[in-house]
Amino acid sequence: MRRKPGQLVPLERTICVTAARLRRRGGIDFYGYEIAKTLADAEDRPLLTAFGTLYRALGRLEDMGLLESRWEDPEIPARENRPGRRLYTLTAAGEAAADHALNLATQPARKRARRRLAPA
Amino acid sequence: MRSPLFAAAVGAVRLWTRLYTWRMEPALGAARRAEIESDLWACEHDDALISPLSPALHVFVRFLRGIPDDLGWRVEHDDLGDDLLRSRFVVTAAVALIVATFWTLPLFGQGAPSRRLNVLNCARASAPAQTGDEFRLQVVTCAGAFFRPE
Repeated sequence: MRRKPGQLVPLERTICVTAARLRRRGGIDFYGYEIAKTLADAEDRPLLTAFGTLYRALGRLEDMGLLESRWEDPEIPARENRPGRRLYTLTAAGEAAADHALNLATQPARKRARRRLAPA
Repeated sequence: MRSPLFAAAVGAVRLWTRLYTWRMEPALGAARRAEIESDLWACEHDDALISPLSPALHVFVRFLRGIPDDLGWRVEHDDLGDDLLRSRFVVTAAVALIVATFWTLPLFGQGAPSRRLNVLNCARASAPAQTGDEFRLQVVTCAGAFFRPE
């Protein structure tokens, strides 16, 4: 998909919105598989986002300053006998992008509702 | 522990990730491989995952659908230099993809050939390689499993 500089593609917008929702529920960090699963659940999709698509989108969001990432403390995965996770956090700019995306998504519905309610 | 088919799908993802991170900035390539490894582990241990596909096919479809983005990501972080190296990379990627597809897809059918299962069982038993040498050793060892007497 060709994009204008600084513009988010739908998946990136959805990631920001989902990360903002996770944050409101108390989840400050998230990792790749977790966000893939949350996205699939939210959109009622049977398949998780493809590996390449997901991690490329996360990388772009990080490059744009909407996400920050860090590797978890190596002691945790060592204790749990699993590979380490890269943890992403939504930045203030990311939160603003999520709000903007939500506004854009609700605007047409609001306009339609206003049109229906307006006196003839 | 998942089926040999799941191991095959995971093996295909690992091989592909190795390939498209080949000869790129080591830290960047290692970070991508570690992230994919973590995702595969989470997928393998996620008993709550509901999908119309088997777990193995689910991983395989995620892998195939993400290939254009993997290549796009690689081009974005392109340090392939001259045209010859770039065209070698593309040809190698295409050949590996075709071989991986034709190697793996028949396994989703009935009666998977036992020699291939030897290779898959070997791959499943191997821990993810930490270094290039370890990876090459695993490839040779598991390729040898194909010729193990019945």
